[in-house]
Amino acid sequence: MGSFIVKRLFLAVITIVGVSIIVFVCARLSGDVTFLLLPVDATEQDIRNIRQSLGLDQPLWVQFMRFVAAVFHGDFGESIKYQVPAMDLVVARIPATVQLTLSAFFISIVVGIPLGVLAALRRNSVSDWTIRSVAVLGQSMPNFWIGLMLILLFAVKLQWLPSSGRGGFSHLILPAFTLALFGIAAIMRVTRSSLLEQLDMDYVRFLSSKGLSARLILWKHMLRNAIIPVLALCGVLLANLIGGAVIIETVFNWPGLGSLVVESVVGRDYPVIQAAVILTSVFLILLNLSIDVAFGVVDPRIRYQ
Amino acid sequence: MNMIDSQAKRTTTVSQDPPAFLHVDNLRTEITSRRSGRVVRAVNGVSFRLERGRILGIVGESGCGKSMTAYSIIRLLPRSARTVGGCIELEGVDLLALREGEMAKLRGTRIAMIFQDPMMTLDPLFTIGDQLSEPLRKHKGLSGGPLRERMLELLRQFSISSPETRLRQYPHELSGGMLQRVVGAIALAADPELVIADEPTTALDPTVQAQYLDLLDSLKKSRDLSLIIVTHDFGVAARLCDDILVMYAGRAVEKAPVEAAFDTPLHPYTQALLKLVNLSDTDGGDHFVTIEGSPPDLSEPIEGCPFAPRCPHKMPICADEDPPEFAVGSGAASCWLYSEAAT
Repeated sequence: MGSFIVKRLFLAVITIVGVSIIVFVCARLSGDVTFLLLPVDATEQDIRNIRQSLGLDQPLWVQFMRFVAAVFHGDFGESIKYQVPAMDLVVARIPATVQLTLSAFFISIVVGIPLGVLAALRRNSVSDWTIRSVAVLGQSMPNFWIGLMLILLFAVKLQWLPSSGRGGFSHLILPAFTLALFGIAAIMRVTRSSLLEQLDMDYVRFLSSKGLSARLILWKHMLRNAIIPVLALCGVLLANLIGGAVIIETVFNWPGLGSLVVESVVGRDYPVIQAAVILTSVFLILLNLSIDVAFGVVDPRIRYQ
Repeated sequence: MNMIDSQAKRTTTVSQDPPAFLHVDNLRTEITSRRSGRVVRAVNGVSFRLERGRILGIVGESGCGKSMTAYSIIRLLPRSARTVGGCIELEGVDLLALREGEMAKLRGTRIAMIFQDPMMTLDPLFTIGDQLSEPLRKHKGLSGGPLRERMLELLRQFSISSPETRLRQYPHELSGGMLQRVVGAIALAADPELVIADEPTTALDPTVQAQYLDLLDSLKKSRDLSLIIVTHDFGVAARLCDDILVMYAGRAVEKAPVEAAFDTPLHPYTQALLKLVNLSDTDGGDHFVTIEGSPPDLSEPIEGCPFAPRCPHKMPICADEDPPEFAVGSGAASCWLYSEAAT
């Protein structure tokens, strides 16, 4: 198990290097920042000066090496727009986004798996049919629209919950639930089909032939086997949640990374984009690492590979 | 209505015979295709008896209903299949009449099952020790030290090397032959009297196959087990079985003691099968020989004898009437060739 984790950590480092190259190149492909910073009547000398101060007069690979060296010191450069360290801007927004995405992820699992098990156990019944229909709706309706509808119902009409902003627990409920809807539906569907798949497996029939109770076979053996595809889905889902958070943060005016990233992209504020994307990737990679470890805990075949 | 009447008549005639250890009578199991909704009569009126301490081999081509017969007995059919008629009596208790909870109590303790592919039979996520302990905890009430002792003893009985290590290992760490021994040890942990083995050696290497058959044979003797071996391999049947049941198109076409079945096969289908085995043995199995024609579609009603279209001894009556079972010597065959012999 130890060497398994070391191997995964090594892969995580390679991924982060890859991400930083892509981010660096993409940010520079989007256009020259100097013209955004300078007034229209700037002289040649002004342009040269600002390019020099930002290091843009150097060859691309030199810029990249400087960038990497600085990143290792936690220095992503200064925000072009705000003239403060990009890292500080991003770090200030991270807790809100982490809170939102992790809450949504947790809700997806805690609601999705039991619903999937219920639907599989009562397959082709009214409850199975209802759960599956709601799941299809949850996956096919755009979540910003669902978010608006929930605000209308719970904040405007019923006035049970605040409509926007970040504060206590009550502020978290609507955005987290809206963001989680897709995950609940996806996890529920995979849990259901994966559990049903187990029913006709030989190992289940062998367990029955040992005279074990249906309850033991379901909760001890089938559920653990059925959870493996769900874990695989969780990795994909996390990336999806962080992407989705950008939109949900806007809908609920949630002060997270999303709005900062949108603003920086529009303003070609490279340092902030780079800091935000790389830190988000690190966060995502760490989460995926913990999913890999969970895989190893559940499935001995992976542990010994 | 007619069918129910004739079934009732059969059951009464049968109950006059001395009670057998296992008595399967007029068993009928159907598979409903989930897509087309077509009903396949996979087992169509199979009857046989098995005495304590005997080994019965059910042989036939794939799709003849031999596995479905086996699963019907322990009532572990796939979801798409259902037993629709007949009776299965284990020492006078009709298994088909039991509620699921009562049936579950017999599994493991009286009837056990060994499956074809040992890699698929065990739960990949739990250790051998865990899976072996389950029936011992449940049926024998063992735990702690005595449980461990019993598990090691069982593994040794099945000639499994270094049993202490095996208990901690996962299924994927063992070879196929070793796993099938583990499966055997688990199946027999709670001392069942009847073991049903569905192609138990098909997934194993030839050398390992022979060892496994010897193991089953010695266990049968030491534990006074009754076994039903489902196989398409006449070699396996000849080596291990006391009696042979040949199935074709969901029916039992021939029943005989093993020597008679191989020396003087009665049914033309058995004769054709044995000829194939001998042919492929003599020419080294260089080319593939088959019986001309193909088995009938079991979702369509069959007129007359199901083997008639492929039979070299076909008579006019064969196409019209399904032959009943005729007793011939030590065996029996469902074939019109023996209708005079029977009268």
